[in-house]
Amino acid sequence: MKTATLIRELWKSAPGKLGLTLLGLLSLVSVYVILTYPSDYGTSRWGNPALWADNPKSVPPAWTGFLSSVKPTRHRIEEWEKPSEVVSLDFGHERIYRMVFALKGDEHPTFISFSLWNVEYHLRPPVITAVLSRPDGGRITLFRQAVSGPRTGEEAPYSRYRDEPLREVLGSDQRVKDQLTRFFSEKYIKDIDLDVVHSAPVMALFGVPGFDGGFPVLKGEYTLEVRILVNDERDKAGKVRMVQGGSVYGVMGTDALGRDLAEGLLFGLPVALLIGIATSTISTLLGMILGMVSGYAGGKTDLVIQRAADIVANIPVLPLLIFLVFIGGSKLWLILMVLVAFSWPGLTIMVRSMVLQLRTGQEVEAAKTLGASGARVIFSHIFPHTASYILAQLVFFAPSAILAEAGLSFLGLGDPSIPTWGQVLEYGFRTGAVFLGYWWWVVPPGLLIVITAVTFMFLALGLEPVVDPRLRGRRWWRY
Amino acid sequence: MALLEVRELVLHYASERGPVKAVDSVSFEVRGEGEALGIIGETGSGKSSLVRALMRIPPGNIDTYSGEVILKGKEIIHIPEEEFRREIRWKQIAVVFQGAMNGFNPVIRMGDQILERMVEERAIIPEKRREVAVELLKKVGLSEDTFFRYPHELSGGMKQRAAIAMALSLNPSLLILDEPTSALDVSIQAQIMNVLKQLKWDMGLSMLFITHDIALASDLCDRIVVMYSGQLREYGSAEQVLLDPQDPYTRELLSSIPRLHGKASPHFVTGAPPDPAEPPQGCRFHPRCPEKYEICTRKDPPLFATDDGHYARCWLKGKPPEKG
Amino acid sequence: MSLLRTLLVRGLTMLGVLLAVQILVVVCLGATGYSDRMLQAVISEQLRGMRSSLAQTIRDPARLEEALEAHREELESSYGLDRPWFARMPGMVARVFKLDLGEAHTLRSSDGSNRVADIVLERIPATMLLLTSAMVITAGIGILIGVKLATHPGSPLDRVVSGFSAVSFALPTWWVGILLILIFSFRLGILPTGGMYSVPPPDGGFARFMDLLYHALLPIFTLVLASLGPYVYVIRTMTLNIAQAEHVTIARAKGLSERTVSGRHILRVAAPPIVTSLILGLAGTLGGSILVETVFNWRGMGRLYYEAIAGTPDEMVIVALTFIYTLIYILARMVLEVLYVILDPRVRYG
Repeated sequence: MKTATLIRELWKSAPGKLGLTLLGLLSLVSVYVILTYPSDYGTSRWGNPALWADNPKSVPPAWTGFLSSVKPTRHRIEEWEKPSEVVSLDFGHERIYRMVFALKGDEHPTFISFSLWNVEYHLRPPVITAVLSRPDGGRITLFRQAVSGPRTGEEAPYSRYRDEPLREVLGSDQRVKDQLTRFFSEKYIKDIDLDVVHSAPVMALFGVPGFDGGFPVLKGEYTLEVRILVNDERDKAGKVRMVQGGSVYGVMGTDALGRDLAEGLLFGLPVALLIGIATSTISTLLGMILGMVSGYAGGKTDLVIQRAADIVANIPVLPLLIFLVFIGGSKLWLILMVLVAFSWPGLTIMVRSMVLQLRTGQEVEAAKTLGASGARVIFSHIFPHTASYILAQLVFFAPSAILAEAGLSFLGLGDPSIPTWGQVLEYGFRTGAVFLGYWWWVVPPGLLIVITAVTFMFLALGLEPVVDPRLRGRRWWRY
Repeated sequence: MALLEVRELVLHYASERGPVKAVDSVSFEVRGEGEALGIIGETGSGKSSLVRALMRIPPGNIDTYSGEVILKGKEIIHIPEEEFRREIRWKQIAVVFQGAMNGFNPVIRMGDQILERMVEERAIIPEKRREVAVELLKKVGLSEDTFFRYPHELSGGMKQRAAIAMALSLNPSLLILDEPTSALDVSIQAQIMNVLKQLKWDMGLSMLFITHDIALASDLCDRIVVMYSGQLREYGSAEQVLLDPQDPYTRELLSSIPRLHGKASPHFVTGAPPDPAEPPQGCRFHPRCPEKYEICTRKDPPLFATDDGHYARCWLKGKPPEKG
Repeated sequence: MSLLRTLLVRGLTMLGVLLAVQILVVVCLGATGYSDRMLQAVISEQLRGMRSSLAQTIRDPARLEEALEAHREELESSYGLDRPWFARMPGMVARVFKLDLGEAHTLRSSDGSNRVADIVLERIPATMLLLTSAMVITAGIGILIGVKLATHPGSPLDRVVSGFSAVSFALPTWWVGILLILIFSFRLGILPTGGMYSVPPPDGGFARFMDLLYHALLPIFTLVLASLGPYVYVIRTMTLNIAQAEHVTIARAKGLSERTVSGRHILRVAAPPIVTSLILGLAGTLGGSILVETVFNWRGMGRLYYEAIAGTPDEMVIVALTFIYTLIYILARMVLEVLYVILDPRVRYG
């Protein structure tokens, strides 16, 4: 059967149409991912926590704000190469970097932080201060610290924070809590809940004492200033970044490391397709060749292959899969190979029985009488008859392989250098996302697994009338 | 009074292309007292649907199911299903089906299947089961130990005999045989025919013998019905139909039987049987009929009496009605 | 005696499977050096014990070391460490069979034992409880729904269920479990998120049992939900095929009551293929239970896998689990095979 005819046949049935459409969509997205993502994405980005430090942790997607009556707070990152203002003082001058932001949501920012790169000084270490001005006039000094002084043997200019920035998450300092307590008791003359100030200072930082002891958000305009006090003209500071952590993030939210789930889940798509297609292709090839050899060669070869198929077909796969990957190491190619090693028998047994039937059939007899070689008989007279079955099996293997890899990843045996949906789920499960109700973290990856697997299922369903209804229900593993 | 009288029995199946006229207004009778009526027809002529209609076990997609079947003077098509099941099935009319090879439940012993209805009715005490079953098996020439066998342990011929034994279990007044020998080797076929003849002559069992094989029918039957495309084509005594066929279709069928050392190669009926969902206009046989004339393409002929108790559905045998 | 022969052949195949798994496990352990390390650990453990007892009698440190070294060599040769790993294979296979796999690194049994056998064996009841109840419930509901659907093929319900069962082939069981936790535990708050007993567990046998049942509800439901779809579909198709078989028509023609027809001539005949579909689904349910135990913190062997992989890897626990799971699978298979042979008089091998 030609590919074009096959696709046309598939298109005729509802599941076939759905399957082809989905496969087309998934392939398009995969191509986009392959073209735009770095090849070492898993290690260079996903597995690098520093890259995600400035993202809010475990927050839902931004669009959830539209569905909820509680307005979330947006995430805000600003960066400066130059100060917003330079103030000259008697003993030097102060460079001021200013982030002005309005809080309109009902949820508190999740954190507030700044980072500073490349400080260079000549005589005295600069002093760095961070101050938050609240819309109600409160000014809270969040941070004050001098850059570390010259080390012995070090010569001016002294360079600091070149490789690693100074990154400070603000608000948890005891002095900040004290200031807050003092400020609130002066300004609002109320009994304030010191416990909240102590356990969740960010809540207090962006709130006013409420009636129930909490700190509802104080809406309005805030200013976060980072001031660098230097006493030498030549002293320099590089980049400054300020972050006000939002209570929502991106299209799909973030995980506990602040990683953008949309990015990681997108990367999982070509990986899943690779797992499905590579495993099914290789195991189908293997199963087909072994079946043909077994059926055509007969004798001892046949016996050995059939006994082996009998045994492998009856092995409970997941325990063995766990063992082999555990011993062999969590590498994607190993997982694929092990999956292949366990998935050939079904096809081998079937192809063999078909070959046996065909071998004694008239067509093959005729071809042999006409002097066709063994290989020729196989390829011209046997293969075409089995091709449609083999194709259906090819489609059937794929979802099983995807589910198996996901299951392994969920047990913590996934290849850490290649993030998959199973691994995203595993991390979520291990860090308690399920029990904290972080649905955006655990529902989408599973849904994507289902969608991808279902795509192949639909294709298989669509192929069914084209091939044979008996193929239904031939599966060796599922979790 | 006839044992079984069938009047204008109709069974149409519903299909996407309109009703399939599997049995289209068929009437005949079985006189009883050991009479065997043969029903002859090609594949798709509606023979098997006729059996289903008589036994009231049509498949799910019925379009029309009507007519009258009178057994021993009592109408049985319109009586309640439960009464029909209890009183008529197997007690009055029993069937030996076409595919009796697959006609047994594969996981129940033969003996239990043969006596199943009796046991369900509590018409037999457990101690007598063995005795009754052995007697039945003997009638059809099977050994005693068949009682304990499973269907897969029996040959086709043995299964067919067992099917007959099963049909006899409640002493029915009429035995319907739906192609009882078509799947068997010729020698086995002869054995089964002998069993049937014995039943007919020794026990006086009346039969409805359905077959596509005219030779078999002529061997056993007293009277013969020829069916074509759901309709009755010719109807008469075996002698009348076989020796003096009045319908062109019957003639064509008869001339298709090969003769010993015949010079002429056997004739065959040209063309294919009509599609039962869209039978041809007019006489249903006219596209294949060598003797058709103008009216045949327009009007479906009724059954014409050609002799005493001999009928044929052919315009050649009767006057076409006045045009009008 | 074809029945015995059939069972014997199946039994031998199963034994072959068990042996093949053992050899695979042992070869992997040997070729990767795991077995060497494992034996070395056992020897050092024994030497440590010996050192303290020898230290009482031998005062001279040099002589003590010498004596210990001699003991070490003795032990190494008795464990076969002086020979290559493949020469030790039969011994290893035997050790795995006896679950004589030494001690776990960090995992402990509930009474504090660190012997691998103790740790693994005490988890068996929990796993069996989950597995058997899930399978029995699945089989029961599957037969009910499948047969119901088979009597109305093409009905809207039939189509919905058929469609659902196709989709459920693609559902990861464990993710379904996670969804159910989100819905029933987190959102509705009516069922526990996991574990086997409340903390603290209630007093009294019956109360404890009810508590266990309460905790088992979601895991069992998950397993049933995930394996039900395909199962229902298979049963429906089989029952439908059999309902259209010749012998059913004949049974009706015989004038048997509809109850006898469906019970004796449809369901009874469908029983063997239904058992076959149970056999086919067995490995899947087993695998599913490993992951479901993990999700629900059900302290069975499946959860033990997760625990052995997560913290400090406990390879010998994993070896033991792989062995026991294979064994359970094979035993369950044999039970079903025997059931099949009882149900179907036609079985012949070859």
